[in-house]
Amino acid sequence: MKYWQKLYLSVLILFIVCLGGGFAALAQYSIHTSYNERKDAFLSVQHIVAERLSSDMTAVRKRDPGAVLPLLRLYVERMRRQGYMFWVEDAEGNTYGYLPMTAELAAVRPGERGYQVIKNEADGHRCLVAVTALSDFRFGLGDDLDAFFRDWHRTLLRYLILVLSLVLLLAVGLFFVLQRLNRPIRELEAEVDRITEGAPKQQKIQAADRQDELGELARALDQMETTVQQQMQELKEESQARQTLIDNLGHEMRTPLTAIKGFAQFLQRTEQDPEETFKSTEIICKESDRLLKLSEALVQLSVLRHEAPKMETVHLKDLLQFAVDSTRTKAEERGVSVQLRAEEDTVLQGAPALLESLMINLIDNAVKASKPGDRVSVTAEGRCVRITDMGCGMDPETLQKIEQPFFRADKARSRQEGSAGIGLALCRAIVDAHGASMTFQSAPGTGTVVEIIFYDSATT
Amino acid sequence: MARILIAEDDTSINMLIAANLRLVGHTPIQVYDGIEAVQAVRTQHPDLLLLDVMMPGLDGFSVMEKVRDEVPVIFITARTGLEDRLQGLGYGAEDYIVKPFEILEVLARIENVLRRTHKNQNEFRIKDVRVDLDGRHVYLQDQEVTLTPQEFQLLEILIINRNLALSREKILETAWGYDYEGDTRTVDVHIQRLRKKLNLEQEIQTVYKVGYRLQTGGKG
Repeated sequence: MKYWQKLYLSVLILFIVCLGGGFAALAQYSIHTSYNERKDAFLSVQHIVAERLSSDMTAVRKRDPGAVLPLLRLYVERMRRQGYMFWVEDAEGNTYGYLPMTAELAAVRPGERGYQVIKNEADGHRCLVAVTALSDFRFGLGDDLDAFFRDWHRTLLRYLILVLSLVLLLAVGLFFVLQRLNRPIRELEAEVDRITEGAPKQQKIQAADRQDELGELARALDQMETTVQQQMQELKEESQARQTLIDNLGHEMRTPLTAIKGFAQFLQRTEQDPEETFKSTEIICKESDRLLKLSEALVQLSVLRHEAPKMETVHLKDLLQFAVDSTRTKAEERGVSVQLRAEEDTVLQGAPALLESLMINLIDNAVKASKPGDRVSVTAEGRCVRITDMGCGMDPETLQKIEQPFFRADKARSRQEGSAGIGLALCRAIVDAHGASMTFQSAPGTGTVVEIIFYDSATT
Repeated sequence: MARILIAEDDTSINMLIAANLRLVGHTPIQVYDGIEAVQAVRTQHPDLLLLDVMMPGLDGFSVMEKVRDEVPVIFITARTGLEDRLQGLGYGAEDYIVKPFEILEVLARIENVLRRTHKNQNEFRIKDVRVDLDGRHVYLQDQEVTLTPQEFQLLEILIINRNLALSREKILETAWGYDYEGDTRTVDVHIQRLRKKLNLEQEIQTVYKVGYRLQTGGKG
């Protein structure tokens, strides 16, 4: 059952119970009161008539006993005119007039009075009957209540019709009012259904303009949908990125593994001269190194993504000096010179090992891009580090992709040098972990400048 | 013997394929990018092109479009995506090989393509033995030797993969069919007969813990 239907039925039932109960109580009270009034009036009439009859009878008997009957006839006539039934029984048991009678009333002792509501056998009407026992006769008076009860039933019917029409009026009115009040709830319900089905938003929720709780609910729903959609989008992108990484990783691992397995089988299955054996094992070693480097970089990358590195005080000048020294041998082998210019010493908050790895990686890239005789310069000014090479440079399209894991600007060359292919992705993660910025400026033929800026709040 | 162009940008893989091709008597030509590959097809007219899909300069599909009428092609791909395979065959490639590959598988596929294009070797000589591979005849000192079909099959496998040790399981699978319910002793028995019939006791070598190998002495 729907909420509005429950509300509807509850209000209706409550109304019927209250109104019906109220009217019933009122009717009960009212019939009781009017019956009592009628009874009191009747009893007082009966009393007066009894007294008068008693004195009249005494007087008539004294003067003229034969006039008793005409006297009684006179009384009967007078009482009938007033709407009462009249009955007299003398000491000898002769009765005059008619009244429905019961044993209790017949047994009323002299000087007392009894009254009762009795059903008249003759016409089936209910009568109020009062009997008074006087010195030598009994006198009774009856009041036919049929008209009273019929009146009362008519009144009761009118009450019932009134109550029913009120209930009907309420039923109809309540239905429309609840329908109207329920409209925003239905709208919200439809919205929730839509969100559940993942259908796009078509129009503004009208209930959102309301000032009541439904308005608040509508606005909250709207807000929730926006948030959920944003999170879904982020999640989707993240999982996409992760999927790409895994796909690429699979590819990156397959190639060295194919070579390693291939050469191992070659060694196992063929007869070679020492030169060939050396070449084969050399390739196995080189490819294994590549895989090792890749797995190390991946672990570092994964750690960086999940926890913030421990920050210490780092002297930028010392750090750069160390990085330049570490790459010098390799650079000299290629005939490339690396120069460091750092006038002032800047103190940073950072993870020394990560920053070293960042600088070495970037200088290494610069050296690899250079031709023999070229120079790579590393300069530090305040919190800004620039690594400049005079090498081949990159076009804007390449520049956009270099930070993607496993993107290689020059695949054949970089593989040959045993690069893992996620160096710059790692650099980016390190830079992000330090809240620093890293930008590349490059054009084909003019070399590349990498600029790293550490901000004051270099902790995240 | 066939001249086979290897277009593969990864040096190690390129060298691996070249070493194995040389072993079984082919002449490898090694190139490392797409542009070089197209040039090499035009200037050196190889019998077969082994073509890597992902290469710098010009990718495998673009190379294929340029040379499809000039040389049969086998694609080498690291991607297992179905699109690649379909596209590879749709472009008219003879076959494709997915990395990581078994070198024996590569050799088998190369042999298949060469046979289809009639660039395979018809005649093989070792010591006093001459084998007519197409006619399926074997001669010892110009006298025909009768071999059972199984024995000839075994000999053929050893010749195609010469200088490479083959496991007993691999031999069983290739010569007797995948479902053959014999044990590896069957292979030993047939190898013994072959050695005796063709007087190749030295050349058909037992390789420790691996299997058997037909050693041709020099390369090729």
